[in-house]
Formats: sequence, structure tokens, C-alpha cells
Amino acid sequence: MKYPRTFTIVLMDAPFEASRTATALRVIDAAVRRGFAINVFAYEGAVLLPFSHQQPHANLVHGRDAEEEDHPLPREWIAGLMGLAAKRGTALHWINCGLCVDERGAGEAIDGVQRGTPADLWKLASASDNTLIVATA
Amino acid sequence: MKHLNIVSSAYRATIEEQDDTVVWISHAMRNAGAGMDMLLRGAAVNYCVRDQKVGPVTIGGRAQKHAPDVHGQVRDFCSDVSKVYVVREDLDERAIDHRSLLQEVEFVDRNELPALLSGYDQVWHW
Amino acid sequence: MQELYIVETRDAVDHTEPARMAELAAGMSRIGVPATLFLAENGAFAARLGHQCPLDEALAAGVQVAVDGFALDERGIGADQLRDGISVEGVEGIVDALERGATVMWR
Repeated sequence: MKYPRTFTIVLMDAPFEASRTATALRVIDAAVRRGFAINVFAYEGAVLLPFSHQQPHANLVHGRDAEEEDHPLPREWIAGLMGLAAKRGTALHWINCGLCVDERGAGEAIDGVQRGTPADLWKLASASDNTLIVATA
Repeated sequence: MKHLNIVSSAYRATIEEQDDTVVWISHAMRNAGAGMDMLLRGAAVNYCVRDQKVGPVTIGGRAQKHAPDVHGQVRDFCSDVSKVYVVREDLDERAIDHRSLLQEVEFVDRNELPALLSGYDQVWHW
Repeated sequence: MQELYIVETRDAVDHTEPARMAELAAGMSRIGVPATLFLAENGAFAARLGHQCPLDEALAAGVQVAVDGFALDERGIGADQLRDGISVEGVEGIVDALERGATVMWR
């Protein structure tokens, strides 16, 4: 399917480790809302962003139980972005680097996440209008 | 399409990964048909230094078989189809003797970077 | 390369790289390649008026400098505390840059 614009974005940071992850997800959100298709190639720790076993927790320092804390998890943000993309008639494709998945035991991911290789990154980038690398700091 | 990969962080998780993962993915994409050059800047300029030695690590009795060879990775990337550039001032700031470097790399001054980068269709800064 | 857009997320006081990126942006501007620095996260500290910082040279060389409003709010930096010449934008600016075909570097 052809979209008005397609961008490929590489992410590298594991969840809850770097502020650039949330910033990058904000960028993806903005792009999807404008109808742009996004390919995410998750490299290294970023393969854990859509890990299906992430669980919310209470925050006793603030006196909140898990329900009150309502801590958004990266996998929820990603699932939300995928749903938003579908509603907007565009697409968010999330590809986890397979070797990075294996070495981190991150094989169980939310629905819609695919497994890929550096060759897939090259193919996606070559077919995209632009590519952004959000490397780890 | 002319493509440049810029590597600036160095020795990041290289023991665990047994490779520099950005140099590695550059190789992998080139193997998949990408026409690609590389620019080393910041601490990554040290990858050009010859005679780096790191042995396999043993932790808790579990021995590593293959230690990383980041210099070898860069050396192997240099070829007729791929250039490797290194920023001269980044070497000098680290007191790296130019004579100790991989012969195949090409030096570029910081003030030459705009002209170098502007000649590429895609520049990915890792 | 038709345009360079750098997302700078690091504090210019703690790190030397923001100065290198500002120099690169200034150099691009001087050879006729439009360049933008977008300050996000801790990069937003450089937008605060009052200390010498690498942005001064970049601004003088014609580099467009913008700062993420979200990052300013997060750090309590008011609009009246910004260096002259810096605009406040959102991350939509990054999407705009991608759409224009700019080379976007995230640092």
C-alpha cells in the first residue's frame, strides 16, 4: 500500500532508560496523526519496548496502588500508536531486530510486532521518504 | 544513493555484544547491498588505532570465546567500495599518533565536515 | 543534502558534543545548506539566556534554533528567559523536517 509519506525510524534504547524514547514516541504519535506511515526498526534494547510481559506497579512513595498509579507502559503506547495508525488509514510497522530479540529473551511481544534483520532495515529505509536514527546516547 | 554512517560512541557494550553494534550493522547492511561509507568521530576515532588487544572475558566461570575486535571491524569495512573517514581534530584532542592508525582511513578536518556530509544523499548519525 | 536538522538532547555545559553539533550546523549554513538545531530534553538548557554557549555562534551563522516547549515547561524555563532568536516549537517540527526531506540527526 502506498501512503502519502513513509518514514523509517530506528530506536535503540531499552524501556525506562532514556528520555529520548518518550520523545521519539511523541514524534511517532505526531507523524501518525498527520497520516504518515511509520516503520520502526527496534535495535538493541529497544526490542523490549513492545515486550508483552511489562506489568504496571504501585507507587508506595506516593501512596498509590497500581490502579491509582496507572503507569503507562511502553507496550501500551506502542499498541495505542498502532491502533491510531489504523484509524487514520495509515500504518505503524514495528520490526524488532531478531538477533537483539534473541540475546535479550524478548521474543514475546504485543500483537503486530514483526522480527527482522539489518537487511530489512536497509529495504525499509530505501523504500521510505526519509529515515531517522534515534541512537542510544 | 550515497550513504554515510557516522559513528561517535565507542566501546559501548562491546564486551557483551562482542562487536561494536553500529559498525556491525553497517557491515550487515552493506552485505545486503547498501552502498555505504563511514565517518568516525568523537571517541570512536580510537577504533582506527592498531594493536588493540582485548582478550575474552570470563565471568562467574563462563568464558567468552570471541572477544570484540573493533579495530578489525573497521579495517574489514574499508574496501574499494567503502571509505572510512576519521576526524583529525578528534584524534589530536586524544593525543592519538596518526602513525599508529589503520592506513586505509582518510583524514577529514572538522571544517571540512559540511562539504563532506553535503555530498551524501543519506547521512545516519548513530 | 538539501537541509540539516539536528535534534540536540544533551546539556551543553555537561557535554562537548552540543558544541560540535552547533559548529557543524554553522558550517552547513555557511556553505549554503540550511540548518536547524532543535533543542529537546536537556538540550533545552542551552536556550536559557545568561551563559556563553555554542548556540551564539550558530545563531550568528544563520542557523535556525528552536526549542521544544514541552522541555522548557518540564525545566521551568519561561519564555522571558530565552536567548534572542530562539523559537519555541513542538516535536511536530521534527516531523516537518522529515517531510521536507531534511537530513535529521538525533544527538
